[in-house]
Amino acid sequence: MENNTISIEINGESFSFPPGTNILKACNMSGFPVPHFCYHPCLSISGNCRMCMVELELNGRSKVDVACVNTVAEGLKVLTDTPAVLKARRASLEFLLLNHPLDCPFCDCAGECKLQDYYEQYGNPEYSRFSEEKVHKQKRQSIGHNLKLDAERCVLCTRCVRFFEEVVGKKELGVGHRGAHSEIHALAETGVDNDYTGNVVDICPVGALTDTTFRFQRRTWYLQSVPTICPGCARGCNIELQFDLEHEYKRAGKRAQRIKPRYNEQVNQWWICDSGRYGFGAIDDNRLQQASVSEEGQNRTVSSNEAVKAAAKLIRRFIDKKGTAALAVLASPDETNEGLTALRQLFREGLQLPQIDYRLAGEPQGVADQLLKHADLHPNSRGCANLQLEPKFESGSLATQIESGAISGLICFRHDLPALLTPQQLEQLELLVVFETHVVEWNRQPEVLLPLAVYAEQNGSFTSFDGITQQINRAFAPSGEAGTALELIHALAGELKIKGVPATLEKARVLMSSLSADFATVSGPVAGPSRQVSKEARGIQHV
Amino acid sequence: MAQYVNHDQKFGATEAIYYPGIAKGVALTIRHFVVNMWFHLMKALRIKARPGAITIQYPDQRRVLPAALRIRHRIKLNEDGRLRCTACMLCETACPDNCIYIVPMESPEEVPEEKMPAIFEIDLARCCFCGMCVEACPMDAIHMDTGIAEMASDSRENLVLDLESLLKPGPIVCTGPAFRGKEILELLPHLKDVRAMEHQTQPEGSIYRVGKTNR
Ligand code: SF4
Ligand code: SF4
Ligand code: SF4
Ligand code: SF4
Ligand code: FES
Repeated sequence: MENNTISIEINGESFSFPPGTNILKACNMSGFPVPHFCYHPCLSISGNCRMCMVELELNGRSKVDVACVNTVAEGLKVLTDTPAVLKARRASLEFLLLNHPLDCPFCDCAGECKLQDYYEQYGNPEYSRFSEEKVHKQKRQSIGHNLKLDAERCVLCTRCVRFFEEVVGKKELGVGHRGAHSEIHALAETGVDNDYTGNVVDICPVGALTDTTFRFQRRTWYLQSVPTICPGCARGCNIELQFDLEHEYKRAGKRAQRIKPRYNEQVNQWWICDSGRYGFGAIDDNRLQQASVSEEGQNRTVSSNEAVKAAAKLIRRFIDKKGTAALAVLASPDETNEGLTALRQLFREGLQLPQIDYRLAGEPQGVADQLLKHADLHPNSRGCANLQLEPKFESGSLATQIESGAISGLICFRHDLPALLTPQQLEQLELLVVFETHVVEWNRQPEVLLPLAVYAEQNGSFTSFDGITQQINRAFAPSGEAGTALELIHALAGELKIKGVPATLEKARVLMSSLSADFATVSGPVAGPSRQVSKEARGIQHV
Repeated sequence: MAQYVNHDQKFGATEAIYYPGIAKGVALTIRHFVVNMWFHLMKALRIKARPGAITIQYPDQRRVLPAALRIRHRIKLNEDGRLRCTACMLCETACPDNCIYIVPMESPEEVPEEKMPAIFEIDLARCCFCGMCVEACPMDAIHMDTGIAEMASDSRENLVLDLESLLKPGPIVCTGPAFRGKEILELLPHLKDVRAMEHQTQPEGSIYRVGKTNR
């Protein structure tokens, strides 16, 4: 077709779209959302739910038809809420609800269920006309990984089937039986098995697929949500971290409840991988709550302030005695750019330490795949590289340098030292200052151990492997006495009388944007936690 | 007696000086005092057996509670003896005082209801007895009809009702039609250590007193 756009009329207003645009998408883009179950912008058209009924008028002839299967045509008139359309929608809903169980009170989806919402808007407000016995299917089926299928609640939209087939590229689910007895089931005996299973829970428009990690934990309306970035790998997938602080005093600090993907065309589209999705347990489990100082074999718990003071004294004494070359710093690729900038200002610019690095030999690597997963399991390695947190001269691995005695002091941020260095090597260190988020079994107690905040507890930014710098947002206060790297490093600089270390996020941003082009724009919403009311905040559920 | 005050209305002459108002109040108090004393006197002299002031000699004498009274909660069982509550948390959501705390769990395979409470607590110290929880419950599981008005305790922890005490409410005074027949029989097997059950017919309705006598 020569003409590159096609003009159509939706509810009396004119719009133009490229040829081939399907009508449902056109309506949604024009601000006349059409209810739908089976259509998903990223999946093929299936046209089975019959919920997206609209009235189409062309050349003076009109009919009520599904919007998702038809594409735009010159001069087409679309009407989205005529009485005929509403009647058709009501009929579709009645049909979908014929055999639907009355599970809302204990269905995890209640509150973010398309069927509930559409019924509220378009359904038949009267009692059901169906007086026969409903078709019963098996509930609580484990179909692999964390998925539970309730066949009764399924509306057979086949979104889950198409997702595995088209996005993951693996046939995992299928529809069996016929008519009212049709059911989704796993094709393999062992159930579904891939790295993206959690996404079908998001795209399932009803509560047929639920997630065992969230199943029966909290109701959706309790959740608060904050947009942030997944710390699981260098991809930088956009997520919504959902948490609940109600009755916190009773629930032993279990705040994070689940992670949902957030749409970002550039990075992750609608999806996230399972390791990112189910990694939220680390936010609350086994956290280091208090600072401790170890003197002459005596280990005592102190306030973070005192620990920072003690660390400053020890670092000063060490540098005076051994010089700067013997003190190494291990920055963390799990820290924010802002925290790393402060770290760079203190240790590189302030104390002039040559031995700064962010990698440690032997750390676990992930396996990359076609869709999202990246082999680098840290969210901000690129940020570290941008800040040149690398040794000034090539001098062998940390382990060999410790063994040769070239390095005898170590300031370490979030690296699993007991696993990566031998007890002898740790023993050889004269000074060990550790900033850690979680409780670690130490075979040699660090001189100073300071609790750090995790990503959910601070504002900042991560830079993905391809150089996109994205905002992370604080969901709740740090656990125990933990502080963010920015705060602690700034306090440490104060004690060491080093000037020029940023105290706030804004100052760190100004400084870091002058250091690398990647930091020029920090994309993504700046947001505090919101009571989860908007449909956007529910992740991709309402696509 | 509630008097609605129109705030725009200016004080009249008698209101502005207050004294007539004070005198009225004092006169009312004195009247009650004299009238009551007269009745007590008559009763003491056995001339007339009408009680004096409308004081109920609690705990020897108890008031008959109205049937629709919202008072200490209980959780009901269904016809098959299983918990009605499915831990949907709607009561917890509806509660304006945040006094309900529920931890749900997946029920065993053989139970048809998928979800049930592992912990269900109501903190009576916070409860304002508004009855919202009863209204919210889709399973008709929570009721406030035990008729138990005596909820004093010597510690705050004791004011937190757990699932067990919600299923087996302690000393009960049940009144009115709500507790006749089937309902009271349904409750009885769940009462631990019942030592006494007393049945009185009073003009206001039947009273069942069920309870441990040692309390
Ligand atoms: S899927 Fe939706 S409509 Fe069905 S029981 Fe769950 S919340 Fe209710
Ligand atoms: S399980 Fe959910 S996503 Fe899959 S067909 Fe059923 S309703 Fe659709
Ligand atoms: S009566 Fe009101 S305050 Fe008390 S538990 Fe129920 S909802 Fe909460
Ligand atoms: S509303 Fe009813 S069913 Fe739901 S948790 Fe409360 S008592 Fe249980
Ligand atoms: S969205 Fe069009 S038929 Fe399902």
